[in-house]
This record gives sequence, structure tokens and C-alpha cells, in this order.
Amino acid sequence: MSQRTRTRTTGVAARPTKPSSDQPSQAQPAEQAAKATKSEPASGAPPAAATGALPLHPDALARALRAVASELERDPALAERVAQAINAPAASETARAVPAPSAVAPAPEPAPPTVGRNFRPRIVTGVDEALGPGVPDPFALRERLGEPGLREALASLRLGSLRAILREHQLDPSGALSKLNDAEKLRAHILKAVKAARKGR
Amino acid sequence: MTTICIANNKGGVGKTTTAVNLAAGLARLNYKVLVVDIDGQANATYALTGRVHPAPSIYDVLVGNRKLETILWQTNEENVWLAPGDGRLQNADVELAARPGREWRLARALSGLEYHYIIIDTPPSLGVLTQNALAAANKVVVPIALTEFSLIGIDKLDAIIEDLRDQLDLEDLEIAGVVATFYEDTTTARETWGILEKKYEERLLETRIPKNLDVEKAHREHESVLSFAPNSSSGLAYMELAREVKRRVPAHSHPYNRRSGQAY
Repeated sequence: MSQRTRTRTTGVAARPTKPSSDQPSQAQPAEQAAKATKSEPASGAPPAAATGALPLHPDALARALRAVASELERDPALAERVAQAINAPAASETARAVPAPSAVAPAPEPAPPTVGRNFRPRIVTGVDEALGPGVPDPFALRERLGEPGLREALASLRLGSLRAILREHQLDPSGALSKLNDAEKLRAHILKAVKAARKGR
Repeated sequence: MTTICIANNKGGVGKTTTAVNLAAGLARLNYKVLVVDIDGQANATYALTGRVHPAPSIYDVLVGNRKLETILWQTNEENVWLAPGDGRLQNADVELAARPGREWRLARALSGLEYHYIIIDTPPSLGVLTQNALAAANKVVVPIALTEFSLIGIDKLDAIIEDLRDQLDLEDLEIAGVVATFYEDTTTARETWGILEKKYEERLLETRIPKNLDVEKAHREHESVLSFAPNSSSGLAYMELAREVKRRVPAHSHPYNRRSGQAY
């Protein structure tokens, strides 16, 4: 630690502690102890001994802290109040670790983040792997899955795949249908063509 | 055959969109095109087929010993084939790092294929995968978004192309064109365009790809914007880009055969 920092730290410890009249008296040792802990100089000498401002021996400080910790462990409600007061998650965890009596109410859950009413997350799953690689073959799908299965498979395909089916299986010789950005019409045409091909057998 | 690597170490500049739509444009000019998706995000694979992280993929070719011919797909675009990518490619840089001849794995895999153009979509990094793409390609097209961040780090790509050209004896590897994407008529875009003109001179392609929602809609429909909205501003621009690339980088008909220091 640099000399400058050390001097500043020691300076805080040397500041006279002014007891507040509106604080409970039992809180004072802990508060003083905390200040003393923070301001311990690098040399390792007890700050109280060095400055004379805090007439508290390190052993006494340790005993006081142990007493506070013990009280917090014994009384979860107190631990919860302390945790809330200082907004320290660690203290809250300590309180939760102790078996809480049923009288103790759990800390309120934070409200979930709100999203716009029309927000619907879209999970991109892509074309079903069962349709195989490349451009799907509606005739093979009809054989394998039946008509309801083919209908379902076509419903999962988007314009690009539907146009590719029309092209690859020559179901739209004029190309007029393929120019439409209307997936429903394309699906209906493919279904009709597959049905016609089965009837023509 | 002419192999074009679409590269920029920056993400979000339109590499995949350029690869997909340039391929579709060249296919409409009656060329047979293969798209190789070596980006671990596999967005070109999704945009051309609707598949999300399919397997087997180019990963099994580059990291495993699978033959490239066994993974090629017909895409939703006529005359466009695909060597699909998948998420495992995100680890491929590490997996390939210690392998001898690691930069040549893609070039070897492409040997003997017969397409007019091969378009390689690369990840937004300059790792082993991008080096494979550059070693396999003879021309590079660099998409640059006309935004504030676009020019930061662009020199790194120039440097790595120069390094690879020297180290791997790739005499013909060069930037064939820089294409401006996400073009809007704003002060930033105009200023960025001016800077690019000074930096790249005649290598800056005349075609500017406008910012346009139809491109996103086309991705969602698993096809190029040339199929989804051919008369949209971006559809027309990508078709024009294909013509410009064809003029600058003509197709060759002989099979792929990348040999160090040799022409195709």
C-alpha cells in the first residue's frame, strides 16, 4: 500500500467518534468495531492503540462481532430485517440458510419484466429434419406420411421451399403461380397435384 | 471455376446476405453456383434451405474426413447448391489449429467440383476457417456497411490477405471488390462512401445495396430477395451486383483445382 493511502486510511480512524444520542446504545460497539476494522493500518498495529480514539481491544471487537453474528443466526427475523436494512444479499442468504420459523414471511419476489401486449417470441426451428435434406419431395412424403402428414409438412414450409417444390417437380410449368407470394395457394396447388398424380396411377 | 470468398472480420455487415443473394443473382445469369457456408452461425444454410444446423455439414468435411460431395444440397434457389454449415463450426478454429496444412483443407475438399462459381460465406473473424476460405478462393468480395463503425479494423483484412498471399503463394488472391451495404442517403453513409472511394479506388463496386426490409423478409421465407421481391430496391441492387461481379470476375468452366501458385 502506498504511503499516501496509508495516511488517508489512518486519518479516518483517527477522526473522533461522536456518539449519536438517537441511536440505540447497543449498536455503538458494532459501529465502532466496523470503523476500526476498516481503518486498520498496514503495520498491523491495533488502531485504537495507535490513535487512542477507540478504546476497544481486538479481542473485545471479535467477541462483539461473534455476539452479533450469533444473534443473527439465532433470530432469522432480525437477520432478515438487518439484511433488508443494509440491502445485502449475503446477509439475506445467511438468514435463508437458517431454518426459518413459519411466522417469518419470505421476501417479496421482484416483479417480472413486462413486455408489450403483442409481443410473441418466435423460436426459429427451421424445416423439420424428417423432411430430409434439400428440396422436399411431396410425392414421397405422401407415400410415407399419408395426406394429413403431407398437409402438415407443407404447412411447416415457407415460401422458398414451396416455390422450390413447384420448380423441382415441375408443378408450375408456366411459372405464374411461383411468382405469387401466397404460401396458401402454393400449398393447395401442391396438394392438388399430388392427389391428381395418385388418381392417375 | 471462380471461387469468391465473402469476407470481413466485422460482424453484421451483410456477408451472409451478400453471399446468398449474389449466388442467386449469378444463378439467374445461368451460372451453376455452389455456396459453401463455413460460418458457425449457419445463416446462409438457413436462408437457402430453412434448415437450422443440419448434420452432416461442411464441419464433417473440414474437421472429419467426409467427402464434400456427400453433403451437397439443392437449395430453394434454382441452380444454387449448398455445402451446409452448422454450429459445430464455432469450435473448428480450435480443432484445426494444430493440424498440419490446416489452411488447405477446404481447397482440397473442393478439388474436382464443377461449378461456374463457388461462393464462400465466412465467419466474422480472421481465424483458421476464414484462412481456409481465402486459401480456397482466388477473389475476395468485401461487404462494408455504410455505418459509423464500418471502417474500424478494415485494414486487418487487407493485411491478412497480403500475408496469406505471401505465405501460401497465392498469387491471384486479391480483393475483387468492396460492396457497400445498408446504404441509406445519410451524411454518415455519404461520408463513409467517400472514404471507401479514396481507400479502394476502382475496387469499390458501383452497386450499393440499400437498407431494405425485403431482405429480412426473404430470409424468413428461406429464399433470396431476388425470389421474394425481385423488383424491390434490394432485389434490383443484388441483381446488378451479380452482373458487376460477373464482369469483374468472369466464370471459368474447368473443374476446381487449387494448387499453390497456379491458376485454375
